[in-house]
Amino acid sequence: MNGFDASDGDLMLEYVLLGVSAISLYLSVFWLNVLHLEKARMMGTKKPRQTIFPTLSLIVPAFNEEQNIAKTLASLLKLDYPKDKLDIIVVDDGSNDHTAKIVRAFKKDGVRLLNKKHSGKGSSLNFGLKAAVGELFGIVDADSTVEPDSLKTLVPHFSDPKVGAVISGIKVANQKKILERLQRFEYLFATLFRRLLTALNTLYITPGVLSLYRRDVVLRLGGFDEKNPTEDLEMALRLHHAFYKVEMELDSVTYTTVPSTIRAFERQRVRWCRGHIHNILGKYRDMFFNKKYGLMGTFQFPLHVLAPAMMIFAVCLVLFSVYLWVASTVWQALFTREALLAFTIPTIKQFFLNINLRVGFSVAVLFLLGLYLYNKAHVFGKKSGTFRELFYSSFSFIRCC
Amino acid sequence: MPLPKKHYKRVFIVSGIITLIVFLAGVGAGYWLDRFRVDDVVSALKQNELNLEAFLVEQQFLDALGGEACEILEPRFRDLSRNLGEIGRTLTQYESKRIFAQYDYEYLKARYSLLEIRTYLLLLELTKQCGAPRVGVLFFYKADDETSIRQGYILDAIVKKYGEEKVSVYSFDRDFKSEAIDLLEAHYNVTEAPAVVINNEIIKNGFTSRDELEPLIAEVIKGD
Repeated sequence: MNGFDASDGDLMLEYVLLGVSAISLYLSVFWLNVLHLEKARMMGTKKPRQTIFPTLSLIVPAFNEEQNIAKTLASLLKLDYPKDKLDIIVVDDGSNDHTAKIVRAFKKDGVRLLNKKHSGKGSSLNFGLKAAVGELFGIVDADSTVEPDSLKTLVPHFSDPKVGAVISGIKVANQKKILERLQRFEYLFATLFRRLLTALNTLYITPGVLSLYRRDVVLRLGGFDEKNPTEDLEMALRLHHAFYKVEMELDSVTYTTVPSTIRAFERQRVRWCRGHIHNILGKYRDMFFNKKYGLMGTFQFPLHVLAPAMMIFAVCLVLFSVYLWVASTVWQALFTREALLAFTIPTIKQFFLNINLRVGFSVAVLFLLGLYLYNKAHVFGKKSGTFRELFYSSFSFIRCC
Repeated sequence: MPLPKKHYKRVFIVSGIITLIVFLAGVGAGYWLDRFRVDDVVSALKQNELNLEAFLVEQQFLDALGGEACEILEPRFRDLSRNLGEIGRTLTQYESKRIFAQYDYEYLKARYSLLEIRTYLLLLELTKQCGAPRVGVLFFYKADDETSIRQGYILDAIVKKYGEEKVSVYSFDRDFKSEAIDLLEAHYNVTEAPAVVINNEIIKNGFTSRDELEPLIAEVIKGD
């Protein structure tokens, strides 16, 4: 009964939402197209039988890992790889628990233990790298377990001399709490996404869960950056910077233990964010829009800035919209009794006629594409999604940017 | 092994085309819905205008040829008022979301205002003829004005309490250029917004609280 109201704020919000949904839609469609092209290669291509097995050293950096190290080493010892070509090295980074004692029990199985003063993962990796003897070397986190055929599926990638590193797919081992289960979907999605990045040669990370490298290349490039918050991200970027490829093998699966408390989760994510900013916006910023580095410079790097910016912006937009709604509706109702008394529930026709279809249509299509991509992630992860799991995945699909 | 260059170039272009198609489909669907909303309101206005014409004809008929005019016409008038109220609420909702184009907005608003005035005049005539306790309230407001919004809520609450058959509110935007609205303002000496005119007699310029307004309306309903 109040006559006609016009809101410039609503109009601005609509334009911004249109812009954000258009960009997100483009990126979703883009990745779906890449997925479509890669589908045949990912699902059925017969891989040649590996007959030559290069010497390989697996480095396990460990700091106070008495809870997990035994399981990790047991899984490494089950690897289907010629035992005379495989060297397992545990670098104890000055643990003050029983990590070293547990590792010594595996000495009879050929596991080497190196002790050093506590100085961080980067220095542990370099310490292990110096002691490694293999043509290739791999990093395995001390809280991860590998499947027996992991190495055999990763090694063939090195037949291409331009490949500097290969990573495996990651699944979550601990799935009891809600936080752990949410991360499970995130890792499932990330695995598919990284495989798609491989198709564009823009894979920007070599996670410590299980990644293989050419030892001579890494040594020539100076080893791991010991002062870097995310040495795995930094090494991948360094390899790209030196024009090496980083690839991902979907058939190789490793299991990792994810943070199970909010505090540990926050610490991990803050470190990852710091690492991204330090490396992408700092150390390797010369790769931005640099055609020399192919799509890594012209596409992936800008996307690395755009995607989180859009996510933060989208969250702010949602919070701002909620604030506007609260301010105009609930606030008035609380402080204007009359508004509360005058409130009427809209009819179904009124509800549908009030939908903003210009924005809503793109957002609806975007949501459906996200669900489709998520389902594909499950298929490639050899698991099928249930509706309950689809609900938990709602934040995962944003990462398709 | 990465995709060949020609493949990923194609991917970029095809993705852009698909996105553009989906985006344009959304914009097109939004435009279609906007036209549907305008047509919905125009259709409701036309129906109401037709009902009003029919009402006037019936009134003339009963005046000329006799009959229980008040018994027949009062329920008809109630329906007219209720429909008019629904159109007003729909227009308010759409306009707050900036759904109408400017020319649609001005056309619909002008048409709606005229319909309100005609219905209001009919109400005055019906009240004089039939003597039934019914209150017609003219409400002059300014869009986006806090006190006008509050005044509107107060009037909504009063209508909800007494029912649309007893209280009818006709609202006019003081910022909207219309000779008919200017005429009303001049006649009732409306000098600011919000302003309320009750049953052609009581004029209140400025915000009127519920404690002050409701007794005035209640008295008119009880009176006669």
